[in-house]
Amino acid sequence: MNKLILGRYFPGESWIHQLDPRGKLVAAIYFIGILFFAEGWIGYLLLLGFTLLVMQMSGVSLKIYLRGVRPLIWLILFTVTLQVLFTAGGTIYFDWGPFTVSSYGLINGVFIFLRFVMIIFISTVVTLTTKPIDLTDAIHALLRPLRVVKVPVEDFALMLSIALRFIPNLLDETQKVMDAQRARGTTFGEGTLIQQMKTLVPIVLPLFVGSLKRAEDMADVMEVRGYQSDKPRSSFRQLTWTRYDTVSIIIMLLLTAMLMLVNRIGAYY
Amino acid sequence: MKPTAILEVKDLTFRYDLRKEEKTLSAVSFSADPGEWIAVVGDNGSGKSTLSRLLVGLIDPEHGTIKIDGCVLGEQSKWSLRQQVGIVFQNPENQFIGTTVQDDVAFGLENVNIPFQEMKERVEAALKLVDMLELRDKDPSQLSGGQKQRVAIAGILALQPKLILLDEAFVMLDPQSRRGLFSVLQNLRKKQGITIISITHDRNEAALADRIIVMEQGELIQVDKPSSVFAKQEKLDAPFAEQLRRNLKSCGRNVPETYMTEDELVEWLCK
Repeated sequence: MNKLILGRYFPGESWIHQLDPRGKLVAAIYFIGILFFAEGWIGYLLLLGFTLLVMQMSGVSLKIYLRGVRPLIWLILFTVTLQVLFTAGGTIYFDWGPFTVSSYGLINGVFIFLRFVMIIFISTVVTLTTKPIDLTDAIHALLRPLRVVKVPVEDFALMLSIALRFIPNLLDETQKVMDAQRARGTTFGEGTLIQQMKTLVPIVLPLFVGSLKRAEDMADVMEVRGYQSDKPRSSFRQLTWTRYDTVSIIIMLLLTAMLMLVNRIGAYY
Repeated sequence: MKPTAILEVKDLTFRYDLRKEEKTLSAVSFSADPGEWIAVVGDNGSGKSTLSRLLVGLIDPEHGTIKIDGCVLGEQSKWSLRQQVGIVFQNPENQFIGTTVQDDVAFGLENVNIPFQEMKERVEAALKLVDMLELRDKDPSQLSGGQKQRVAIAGILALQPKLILLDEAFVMLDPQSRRGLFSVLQNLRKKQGITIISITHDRNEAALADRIIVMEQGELIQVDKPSSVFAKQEKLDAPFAEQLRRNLKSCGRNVPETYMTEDELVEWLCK
Protein backbone atom coordinates (compact mmCIF):
# COMPACT_ATOMS: atom_id res chain seq x y z
CA MET A 1 0.00 0.00 0.00
CA ASN A 2 2.88 2.32 0.72
CA LYS A 3 4.02 2.12 -2.87
CA LEU A 4 1.08 4.08 -4.18
CA ILE A 5 2.16 7.71 -4.18
CA LEU A 6 -0.57 9.14 -6.35
CA GLY A 7 -3.37 10.10 -3.97
CA ARG A 8 -1.30 10.50 -0.83
CA TYR A 9 -0.93 13.69 1.09
CA PHE A 10 2.34 15.02 2.49
CA PRO A 11 1.69 17.68 5.12
CA GLY A 12 3.79 20.78 4.66
CA GLU A 13 3.86 24.53 4.85
CA SER A 14 5.03 25.40 1.36
CA TRP A 15 3.54 28.09 -0.84
CA ILE A 16 1.97 25.36 -2.95
CA HIS A 17 0.42 23.69 0.09
CA GLN A 18 -1.31 26.90 0.97
CA LEU A 19 -2.88 27.55 -2.41
CA ASP A 20 -6.61 27.20 -2.74
CA PRO A 21 -7.39 23.65 -3.95
CA ARG A 22 -9.65 25.00 -6.67
CA GLY A 23 -6.90 27.16 -8.10
CA LYS A 24 -4.39 24.36 -7.81
CA LEU A 25 -6.63 21.87 -9.58
CA VAL A 26 -7.50 24.28 -12.38
CA ALA A 27 -3.84 25.24 -12.82
CA ALA A 28 -2.77 21.59 -12.99
CA ILE A 29 -5.42 20.69 -15.55
CA TYR A 30 -4.53 23.79 -17.52
CA PHE A 31 -0.86 22.89 -17.46
CA ILE A 32 -1.60 19.38 -18.72
CA GLY A 33 -3.62 21.04 -21.47
CA ILE A 34 -0.83 23.31 -22.67
CA LEU A 35 1.62 20.39 -22.58
CA PHE A 36 0.02 19.27 -25.82
CA PHE A 37 0.79 22.58 -27.52
CA ALA A 38 4.50 22.36 -26.93
CA GLU A 39 6.55 22.02 -30.09
CA GLY A 40 10.26 21.54 -30.31
CA TRP A 41 13.02 21.30 -27.79
CA ILE A 42 12.81 24.75 -26.31
CA GLY A 43 9.10 24.42 -25.59
CA TYR A 44 9.58 21.12 -23.80
CA LEU A 45 12.56 22.41 -21.87
CA LEU A 46 10.55 25.43 -20.76
CA LEU A 47 7.72 23.27 -19.45
CA LEU A 48 10.07 20.75 -17.89
CA GLY A 49 11.89 23.59 -16.12
CA PHE A 50 8.59 24.88 -14.82
CA THR A 51 7.55 21.42 -13.61
CA LEU A 52 10.85 20.93 -11.78
CA LEU A 53 10.55 24.38 -10.23
CA VAL A 54 7.06 23.61 -8.94
CA MET A 55 8.26 20.25 -7.58
CA GLN A 56 11.14 21.97 -5.86
CA MET A 57 8.78 24.52 -4.33
CA SER A 58 6.45 21.85 -2.95
CA GLY A 59 9.21 20.84 -0.53
CA VAL A 60 8.70 17.13 -1.20
CA SER A 61 11.84 15.22 -2.16
CA LEU A 62 12.41 14.16 -5.76
CA LYS A 63 12.61 10.52 -4.68
CA ILE A 64 8.94 10.53 -3.78
CA TYR A 65 8.02 11.92 -7.18
CA LEU A 66 10.08 9.27 -8.92
CA ARG A 67 8.26 6.61 -6.93
CA GLY A 68 5.05 8.03 -8.37
CA VAL A 69 6.32 7.36 -11.89
CA ARG A 70 7.44 3.81 -11.17
CA PRO A 71 4.07 2.00 -11.34
CA LEU A 72 3.42 3.55 -14.75
CA ILE A 73 6.87 3.15 -16.24
CA TRP A 74 5.97 0.09 -18.38
CA LEU A 75 2.96 1.80 -19.86
CA ILE A 76 5.12 4.82 -20.71
CA LEU A 77 7.91 2.73 -22.24
CA PHE A 78 5.37 0.76 -24.28
CA THR A 79 3.89 3.95 -25.72
CA VAL A 80 7.31 5.40 -26.39
CA THR A 81 8.39 2.20 -28.19
CA LEU A 82 5.32 2.28 -30.42
CA GLN A 83 6.01 5.91 -31.19
CA VAL A 84 9.64 5.21 -32.05
CA LEU A 85 8.86 2.20 -34.22
CA PHE A 86 5.96 3.56 -36.22
CA THR A 87 6.90 7.16 -36.90
CA ALA A 88 8.65 7.70 -40.17
CA GLY A 89 10.39 10.79 -41.45
CA GLY A 90 13.75 12.45 -41.29
CA THR A 91 16.81 10.24 -41.40
CA ILE A 92 16.00 6.57 -41.31
CA TYR A 93 18.39 4.56 -39.18
CA PHE A 94 16.75 1.15 -39.31
CA ASP A 95 14.05 -0.41 -41.46
CA TRP A 96 12.50 -3.84 -41.11
CA GLY A 97 9.07 -4.59 -42.58
CA PRO A 98 6.56 -2.25 -40.98
CA PHE A 99 9.06 -1.07 -38.34
CA THR A 100 11.21 1.95 -38.94
CA VAL A 101 13.45 3.79 -36.55
CA SER A 102 13.81 7.33 -37.79
CA SER A 103 15.13 10.56 -36.37
CA TYR A 104 11.55 11.90 -36.20
CA GLY A 105 10.45 8.79 -34.34
CA LEU A 106 13.24 9.08 -31.81
CA ILE A 107 12.59 12.74 -31.15
CA ASN A 108 8.86 12.11 -30.85
CA GLY A 109 9.56 9.25 -28.47
CA VAL A 110 11.55 11.50 -26.19
CA PHE A 111 8.83 14.16 -26.32
CA ILE A 112 6.12 11.64 -25.46
CA PHE A 113 8.21 10.35 -22.60
CA LEU A 114 8.66 13.88 -21.24
CA ARG A 115 4.98 14.63 -21.64
CA PHE A 116 3.98 11.53 -19.68
CA VAL A 117 6.46 12.23 -16.91
CA MET A 118 5.36 15.84 -16.62
CA ILE A 119 1.69 14.86 -16.43
CA ILE A 120 2.50 12.46 -13.60
CA PHE A 121 4.74 14.95 -11.80
CA ILE A 122 2.24 17.79 -11.94
CA SER A 123 -0.72 15.69 -10.81
CA THR A 124 1.45 14.24 -8.05
CA VAL A 125 2.28 17.79 -6.92
CA VAL A 126 -1.44 18.44 -6.56
CA THR A 127 -2.24 15.27 -4.62
CA LEU A 128 0.86 15.48 -2.43
CA THR A 129 0.19 19.04 -1.37
CA THR A 130 -3.60 18.93 -1.01
CA LYS A 131 -5.62 17.06 1.57
CA PRO A 132 -7.98 14.62 -0.14
CA ILE A 133 -10.94 16.33 1.47
CA ASP A 134 -9.87 19.73 0.11
CA LEU A 135 -9.56 18.15 -3.30
CA THR A 136 -13.11 16.84 -2.92
CA ASP A 137 -14.27 20.34 -2.06
CA ALA A 138 -12.46 21.70 -5.09
CA ILE A 139 -14.10 19.14 -7.37
CA HIS A 140 -17.41 19.99 -5.76
CA ALA A 141 -16.90 23.71 -6.37
CA LEU A 142 -15.73 23.23 -9.95
CA LEU A 143 -18.62 20.92 -10.85
CA ARG A 144 -21.17 23.26 -9.31
CA PRO A 145 -22.24 24.76 -12.66
CA LEU A 146 -23.49 21.29 -13.62
CA ARG A 147 -26.29 21.71 -11.11
CA VAL A 148 -28.09 23.68 -13.78
CA VAL A 149 -28.51 20.50 -15.79
CA LYS A 150 -29.67 18.59 -12.68
CA VAL A 151 -26.44 16.75 -11.90
CA PRO A 152 -26.48 15.89 -8.15
CA VAL A 153 -23.14 17.56 -7.47
CA GLU A 154 -23.64 17.72 -3.67
CA ASP A 155 -24.41 14.03 -3.39
CA PHE A 156 -21.43 13.24 -5.54
CA ALA A 157 -19.11 15.30 -3.34
CA LEU A 158 -20.48 13.73 -0.17
CA MET A 159 -20.06 10.25 -1.61
CA LEU A 160 -16.48 11.03 -2.48
CA SER A 161 -15.72 12.36 1.00
CA ILE A 162 -17.33 9.35 2.71
CA ALA A 163 -15.38 7.00 0.46
CA LEU A 164 -12.16 8.79 1.40
CA ARG A 165 -13.05 8.64 5.07
CA PHE A 166 -13.57 4.88 4.94
CA ILE A 167 -10.40 3.83 3.14
CA PRO A 168 -8.38 3.49 6.39
CA ASN A 169 -11.31 1.66 7.98
CA LEU A 170 -11.45 -0.88 5.20
CA LEU A 171 -7.71 -1.46 5.40
CA ASP A 172 -8.03 -1.97 9.14
CA GLU A 173 -10.88 -4.37 8.69
CA THR A 174 -9.00 -6.35 6.05
CA GLN A 175 -6.16 -6.73 8.50
CA LYS A 176 -8.55 -7.88 11.23
CA VAL A 177 -10.27 -10.44 9.02
CA MET A 178 -6.91 -11.74 7.83
CA ASP A 179 -5.73 -12.08 11.43
CA ALA A 180 -8.93 -13.87 12.33
CA GLN A 181 -8.45 -16.29 9.43
CA ARG A 182 -4.82 -16.80 10.38
CA ALA A 183 -5.90 -17.63 13.92
CA ARG A 184 -8.04 -20.34 12.34
CA GLY A 185 -5.10 -21.78 10.49
CA THR A 186 -5.19 -20.15 7.06
CA THR A 187 -1.86 -19.36 5.46
CA PHE A 188 -1.77 -16.62 2.89
CA GLY A 189 0.51 -16.43 -0.12
CA GLU A 190 1.27 -20.13 -0.32
CA GLY A 191 0.46 -22.89 -2.76
CA THR A 192 -0.63 -22.62 -6.36
CA LEU A 193 -2.29 -19.55 -7.78
CA ILE A 194 -5.70 -21.24 -7.52
CA GLN A 195 -5.11 -22.09 -3.86
CA GLN A 196 -3.99 -18.56 -3.11
CA MET A 197 -7.08 -17.17 -4.74
CA LYS A 198 -9.24 -19.54 -2.72
CA THR A 199 -7.81 -18.26 0.54
CA LEU A 200 -8.93 -14.78 -0.46
CA VAL A 201 -12.62 -15.71 -0.59
CA PRO A 202 -13.04 -15.91 3.20
CA ILE A 203 -11.50 -12.41 3.41
CA VAL A 204 -13.50 -10.70 0.72
CA LEU A 205 -16.82 -12.12 1.86
CA PRO A 206 -16.78 -10.82 5.46
CA LEU A 207 -15.46 -7.49 4.21
CA PHE A 208 -18.31 -7.23 1.78
CA VAL A 209 -20.94 -8.14 4.35
CA GLY A 210 -19.36 -5.75 6.85
CA SER A 211 -19.39 -2.91 4.36
CA LEU A 212 -23.05 -3.44 3.56
CA LYS A 213 -23.93 -3.45 7.24
CA ARG A 214 -21.90 -0.32 7.76
CA ALA A 215 -23.53 1.42 4.83
CA GLU A 216 -26.93 0.65 6.29
CA ASP A 217 -25.98 2.00 9.71
CA MET A 218 -24.55 5.12 8.15
CA ALA A 219 -27.63 5.72 6.06
CA ASP A 220 -29.69 5.55 9.27
CA VAL A 221 -27.41 7.98 11.04
CA MET A 222 -27.42 10.38 8.12
CA GLU A 223 -31.18 10.24 7.99
CA VAL A 224 -31.72 10.97 11.68
CA ARG A 225 -29.20 13.76 11.51
CA GLY A 226 -31.39 15.35 8.88
CA TYR A 227 -29.62 14.65 5.61
CA GLN A 228 -31.89 15.07 2.63
CA SER A 229 -30.29 14.95 -0.76
CA ASP A 230 -32.55 17.46 -2.43
CA LYS A 231 -32.36 20.13 0.27
CA PRO A 232 -29.91 23.04 0.24
CA ARG A 233 -27.01 22.51 2.63
CA SER A 234 -24.54 24.95 4.04
CA SER A 235 -20.89 24.02 4.14
CA PHE A 236 -18.62 23.94 7.17
CA ARG A 237 -15.42 23.78 5.18
CA GLN A 238 -14.83 27.09 3.50
CA LEU A 239 -12.45 27.64 0.62
CA THR A 240 -10.79 31.03 0.49
CA TRP A 241 -9.38 32.43 -2.70
CA THR A 242 -6.35 34.59 -1.93
CA ARG A 243 -4.08 36.87 -3.88
CA TYR A 244 -1.62 34.00 -4.28
CA ASP A 245 -4.20 31.94 -6.12
CA THR A 246 -4.77 34.75 -8.58
CA VAL A 247 -1.01 35.09 -8.96
CA SER A 248 -0.69 31.38 -9.72
CA ILE A 249 -3.32 31.62 -12.45
CA ILE A 250 -1.53 34.64 -13.93
CA ILE A 251 1.71 32.65 -13.90
CA MET A 252 -0.02 29.92 -15.88
CA LEU A 253 -1.16 32.48 -18.46
CA LEU A 254 2.35 33.94 -18.68
CA LEU A 255 3.68 30.44 -19.18
CA THR A 256 1.25 29.96 -22.07
CA ALA A 257 2.38 33.20 -23.66
CA MET A 258 6.02 32.18 -23.31
CA LEU A 259 5.29 28.79 -24.83
CA MET A 260 3.59 30.39 -27.84
CA LEU A 261 6.56 32.70 -28.29
CA VAL A 262 9.00 29.83 -28.05
CA ASN A 263 6.99 27.83 -30.56
CA ARG A 264 7.07 30.78 -32.96
CA ILE A 265 10.84 31.12 -32.63
CA GLY A 266 11.26 27.37 -33.02
CA ALA A 267 9.43 27.54 -36.33
CA TYR A 268 12.27 29.57 -37.87
CA TYR A 269 14.87 26.94 -37.24
CA MET B 1 -49.47 23.21 36.65
CA LYS B 2 -47.96 20.22 34.99
CA PRO B 3 -45.96 21.14 31.88
CA THR B 4 -47.16 19.60 28.63
CA ALA B 5 -45.31 16.45 27.76
CA ILE B 6 -42.52 16.71 25.19
CA LEU B 7 -43.04 13.12 24.19
CA GLU B 8 -46.23 11.12 24.22
CA VAL B 9 -46.24 7.52 23.13
CA LYS B 10 -49.59 5.83 22.84
CA ASP B 11 -50.32 2.18 22.21
CA LEU B 12 -47.16 1.68 20.13
CA THR B 13 -47.02 -1.71 18.42
CA PHE B 14 -44.42 -3.00 16.02
CA ARG B 15 -43.62 -6.25 14.25
CA TYR B 16 -40.54 -6.85 12.12
CA ASP B 17 -42.27 -9.66 10.30
CA LEU B 18 -45.92 -9.08 9.57
CA ARG B 19 -46.53 -12.75 8.82
CA LYS B 20 -45.70 -13.72 12.37
CA GLU B 21 -47.73 -13.11 15.46
CA GLU B 22 -44.69 -12.33 17.55
CA LYS B 23 -44.50 -8.64 18.28
CA THR B 24 -41.29 -6.75 18.92
CA LEU B 25 -43.26 -4.09 20.74
CA SER B 26 -46.82 -4.40 21.89
CA ALA B 27 -49.02 -1.56 23.11
CA VAL B 28 -46.31 0.56 24.66
CA SER B 29 -47.53 3.84 26.13
CA PHE B 30 -45.68 6.40 28.17
CA SER B 31 -44.89 10.08 28.20
CA ALA B 32 -41.95 12.28 29.08
CA ASP B 33 -41.98 15.77 30.50
CA PRO B 34 -39.55 18.51 29.52
CA GLY B 35 -36.33 18.23 31.50
CA GLU B 36 -36.96 14.67 32.55
CA TRP B 37 -34.32 11.91 32.51
CA ILE B 38 -35.79 8.54 31.72
CA ALA B 39 -33.80 5.34 31.71
CA VAL B 40 -35.01 2.38 29.66
CA VAL B 41 -33.83 -0.98 30.95
CA GLY B 42 -34.51 -4.53 29.86
CA ASP B 43 -32.75 -7.62 28.60
CA ASN B 44 -31.41 -8.03 25.09
CA GLY B 45 -34.30 -8.45 22.70
CA SER B 46 -36.78 -6.70 24.94
CA GLY B 47 -37.48 -4.08 22.27
CA LYS B 48 -35.49 -1.16 23.67
CA SER B 49 -33.61 -0.38 20.50
CA THR B 50 -36.70 -0.90 18.37
CA LEU B 51 -38.40 1.68 20.56
CA SER B 52 -35.62 4.19 19.96
CA ARG B 53 -35.71 3.62 16.20
CA LEU B 54 -39.44 4.17 16.22
CA LEU B 55 -39.07 7.39 18.18
CA VAL B 56 -36.89 8.97 15.48
CA GLY B 57 -38.99 7.68 12.61
CA LEU B 58 -36.48 5.24 11.16
CA ILE B 59 -39.16 2.57 11.19
CA ASP B 60 -42.93 3.00 11.17
CA PRO B 61 -45.17 1.49 13.83
CA GLU B 62 -47.88 -1.00 12.99
CA HIS B 63 -50.25 1.08 15.03
CA GLY B 64 -50.12 3.60 17.80
CA THR B 65 -48.90 7.18 17.74
CA ILE B 66 -45.82 9.11 18.77
CA LYS B 67 -46.29 12.76 19.58
CA ILE B 68 -43.21 14.93 19.91
CA ASP B 69 -43.75 18.43 21.23
CA GLY B 70 -47.44 18.16 20.38
CA CYS B 71 -46.88 17.07 16.79
CA VAL B 72 -47.59 13.54 15.55
CA LEU B 73 -44.57 11.80 14.04
CA GLY B 74 -45.29 10.73 10.49
CA GLU B 75 -43.90 10.67 6.97
CA GLN B 76 -44.56 14.38 6.52
CA SER B 77 -43.48 15.69 9.88
CA LYS B 78 -40.45 13.51 10.55
CA TRP B 79 -37.94 15.80 8.86
CA SER B 80 -38.90 18.82 10.92
CA LEU B 81 -39.24 16.75 14.10
CA ARG B 82 -35.75 15.38 13.66
CA GLN B 83 -34.43 18.83 14.43
CA GLN B 84 -35.87 18.39 17.89
CA VAL B 85 -34.87 14.81 18.51
CA GLY B 86 -31.29 13.66 18.52
CA ILE B 87 -30.20 10.06 18.81
CA VAL B 88 -26.80 8.63 19.62
CA PHE B 89 -26.35 5.00 18.64
CA GLN B 90 -24.13 2.42 20.18
CA ASN B 91 -21.50 1.93 17.47
CA PRO B 92 -19.59 5.21 17.18
CA GLU B 93 -17.58 4.08 14.16
CA ASN B 94 -20.55 4.02 11.82
CA GLN B 95 -21.88 7.30 13.13
CA PHE B 96 -18.84 9.21 12.02
CA ILE B 97 -19.78 10.83 8.71
CA GLY B 98 -17.31 13.70 8.45
CA THR B 99 -13.62 13.44 7.65
CA THR B 100 -12.52 15.18 10.84
CA VAL B 101 -14.00 15.67 14.30
CA GLN B 102 -15.31 19.14 13.60
CA ASP B 103 -16.63 18.21 10.16
CA ASP B 104 -18.60 15.42 11.74
CA VAL B 105 -20.10 17.65 14.40
CA ALA B 106 -21.00 20.15 11.69
CA PHE B 107 -22.70 17.54 9.50
CA GLY B 108 -26.10 17.86 11.18
CA LEU B 109 -25.87 21.65 11.06
CA GLU B 110 -24.98 21.64 7.37
CA ASN B 111 -28.08 19.59 6.73
CA VAL B 112 -30.35 22.26 8.15
CA ASN B 113 -28.49 24.97 6.27
CA ILE B 114 -27.06 26.92 9.19
CA PRO B 115 -24.83 29.83 8.10
CA PHE B 116 -21.08 29.30 8.48
CA GLN B 117 -20.41 31.73 11.32
CA GLU B 118 -23.13 30.34 13.57
CA MET B 119 -22.14 26.80 12.64
CA LYS B 120 -18.58 27.45 13.72
CA GLU B 121 -19.68 28.77 17.11
CA ARG B 122 -22.06 25.90 17.73
CA VAL B 123 -19.50 23.29 16.74
CA GLU B 124 -16.94 24.78 19.07
CA ALA B 125 -19.41 25.02 21.95
CA ALA B 126 -20.50 21.42 21.48
CA LEU B 127 -16.92 20.16 21.30
CA LYS B 128 -16.05 22.08 24.43
CA LEU B 129 -18.95 20.43 26.28
CA VAL B 130 -17.65 16.96 25.53
CA ASP B 131 -14.03 18.00 26.10
CA MET B 132 -12.87 17.33 22.55
CA LEU B 133 -11.96 20.83 21.40
CA GLU B 134 -8.22 20.15 21.18
CA LEU B 135 -8.82 17.13 18.98
CA ARG B 136 -11.09 18.86 16.48
CA ASP B 137 -8.76 18.43 13.49
CA LYS B 138 -8.18 14.70 14.04
CA ASP B 139 -9.66 12.16 11.70
CA PRO B 140 -11.59 9.14 12.99
CA SER B 141 -8.72 6.69 12.53
CA GLN B 142 -6.75 8.65 15.12
CA LEU B 143 -9.48 8.45 17.77
CA SER B 144 -10.40 5.83 20.34
CA GLY B 145 -13.88 4.35 20.60
CA GLY B 146 -14.74 6.52 23.57
CA GLN B 147 -13.57 9.66 21.81
CA LYS B 148 -15.69 8.82 18.79
CA GLN B 149 -18.63 8.32 21.09
CA ARG B 150 -18.08 11.79 22.48
CA VAL B 151 -17.95 13.22 18.98
CA ALA B 152 -21.27 11.53 18.23
CA ILE B 153 -22.75 13.11 21.36
CA ALA B 154 -21.29 16.50 20.40
CA GLY B 155 -22.88 16.17 16.97
CA ILE B 156 -26.26 15.86 18.65
CA LEU B 157 -25.62 18.63 21.18
CA ALA B 158 -24.68 21.05 18.37
CA LEU B 159 -28.16 20.57 16.91
CA GLN B 160 -29.67 21.72 20.23
CA PRO B 161 -32.55 19.27 20.24
CA LYS B 162 -35.27 19.20 22.88
CA LEU B 163 -35.08 15.45 23.27
CA ILE B 164 -31.96 13.31 23.26
CA LEU B 165 -32.09 9.55 22.89
CA LEU B 166 -29.05 7.65 24.02
CA ASP B 167 -29.04 4.09 22.73
CA GLU B 168 -26.33 2.62 24.95
CA ALA B 169 -24.23 5.58 23.97
CA PHE B 170 -21.86 5.36 26.93
CA VAL B 171 -20.68 1.77 26.61
CA MET B 172 -17.26 2.57 25.17
CA LEU B 173 -16.39 5.26 27.68
CA ASP B 174 -14.19 4.70 30.67
CA PRO B 175 -15.92 5.26 34.05
CA GLN B 176 -14.36 8.66 34.53
CA SER B 177 -15.39 10.20 31.21
CA ARG B 178 -18.75 8.50 31.59
CA ARG B 179 -19.30 10.42 34.81
CA GLY B 180 -18.02 13.59 33.12
CA LEU B 181 -20.42 13.35 30.20
CA PHE B 182 -23.18 12.34 32.52
CA SER B 183 -22.85 15.55 34.49
CA VAL B 184 -22.63 17.59 31.27
CA LEU B 185 -25.95 16.14 30.16
CA GLN B 186 -27.46 16.61 33.62
CA ASN B 187 -26.46 20.27 33.50
CA LEU B 188 -27.99 20.79 30.07
CA ARG B 189 -31.12 19.14 31.28
CA LYS B 190 -31.41 21.46 34.24
CA LYS B 191 -30.45 24.63 32.38
CA GLN B 192 -32.20 24.13 29.06
CA GLY B 193 -34.87 21.63 29.99
CA ILE B 194 -33.66 18.99 27.53
CA THR B 195 -35.37 15.66 27.97
CA ILE B 196 -33.11 12.63 27.95
CA ILE B 197 -34.14 9.06 27.30
CA SER B 198 -31.28 6.73 27.94
CA ILE B 199 -31.29 3.07 27.02
CA THR B 200 -28.81 1.40 29.28
CA HIS B 201 -27.61 -1.78 30.87
CA ASP B 202 -25.84 0.11 33.63
CA ARG B 203 -27.99 -0.09 36.76
CA ASN B 204 -26.06 2.57 38.59
CA GLU B 205 -26.72 4.97 35.74
CA ALA B 206 -30.41 3.99 35.67
CA ALA B 207 -30.69 4.61 39.40
CA LEU B 208 -29.88 8.28 38.80
CA ALA B 209 -32.77 8.78 36.38
CA ASP B 210 -36.05 10.44 37.30
CA ARG B 211 -38.00 7.48 36.09
CA ILE B 212 -37.20 4.03 34.81
CA ILE B 213 -39.04 2.19 32.08
CA VAL B 214 -38.70 -1.57 32.45
CA MET B 215 -39.23 -3.57 29.29
CA GLU B 216 -39.64 -7.28 28.84
CA GLN B 217 -40.33 -9.06 25.57
CA GLY B 218 -41.73 -6.00 23.88
CA GLU B 219 -43.95 -5.04 26.74
CA LEU B 220 -43.62 -2.20 29.11
CA ILE B 221 -43.93 -3.77 32.53
CA GLN B 222 -43.25 -0.85 34.82
CA VAL B 223 -42.70 2.90 34.60
CA ASP B 224 -41.80 4.43 37.91
CA LYS B 225 -39.24 6.10 40.12
CA PRO B 226 -36.01 4.13 40.55
CA SER B 227 -36.86 3.42 44.19
CA SER B 228 -40.11 1.64 43.39
CA VAL B 229 -38.72 -0.08 40.32
CA PHE B 230 -35.79 -1.63 42.14
CA ALA B 231 -37.99 -2.51 45.09
CA LYS B 232 -40.48 -4.31 42.87
CA GLN B 233 -38.37 -5.86 40.12
CA GLU B 234 -36.44 -8.46 42.05
CA LYS B 235 -35.14 -9.97 38.82
CA LEU B 236 -33.49 -6.72 37.78
CA ASP B 237 -29.86 -6.34 38.72
CA ALA B 238 -30.00 -3.65 41.36
CA PRO B 239 -27.58 -0.73 41.69
CA PHE B 240 -24.78 -1.13 44.17
CA ALA B 241 -26.54 0.41 47.20
CA GLU B 242 -29.64 -1.69 46.71
CA GLN B 243 -27.58 -4.86 46.34
CA LEU B 244 -25.80 -4.06 49.57
CA ARG B 245 -29.11 -3.50 51.32
CA ARG B 246 -30.48 -6.82 50.04
CA ASN B 247 -27.32 -8.64 51.06
CA LEU B 248 -27.37 -7.12 54.52
CA LYS B 249 -30.99 -8.10 54.83
CA SER B 250 -30.35 -11.69 53.85
CA CYS B 251 -27.64 -11.81 56.52
CA GLY B 252 -30.33 -11.05 59.02
CA ARG B 253 -29.39 -7.41 59.64
CA ASN B 254 -32.08 -4.99 60.60
CA VAL B 255 -32.12 -2.80 57.46
CA PRO B 256 -35.05 -0.71 56.23
CA GLU B 257 -37.48 -2.52 53.95
CA THR B 258 -37.52 0.06 51.17
CA TYR B 259 -35.09 0.98 48.43
CA MET B 260 -32.39 3.47 49.39
CA THR B 261 -30.12 5.63 47.30
CA GLU B 262 -26.40 5.48 47.91
CA ASP B 263 -26.47 8.63 50.08
CA GLU B 264 -29.35 7.36 52.17
CA LEU B 265 -27.64 4.07 52.75
CA VAL B 266 -24.40 5.76 53.74
CA GLU B 267 -26.29 7.92 56.19
CA TRP B 268 -28.09 4.90 57.63
CA LEU B 269 -24.87 2.90 57.94
CA CYS B 270 -23.15 5.75 59.75
CA LYS B 271 -25.88 5.99 62.34
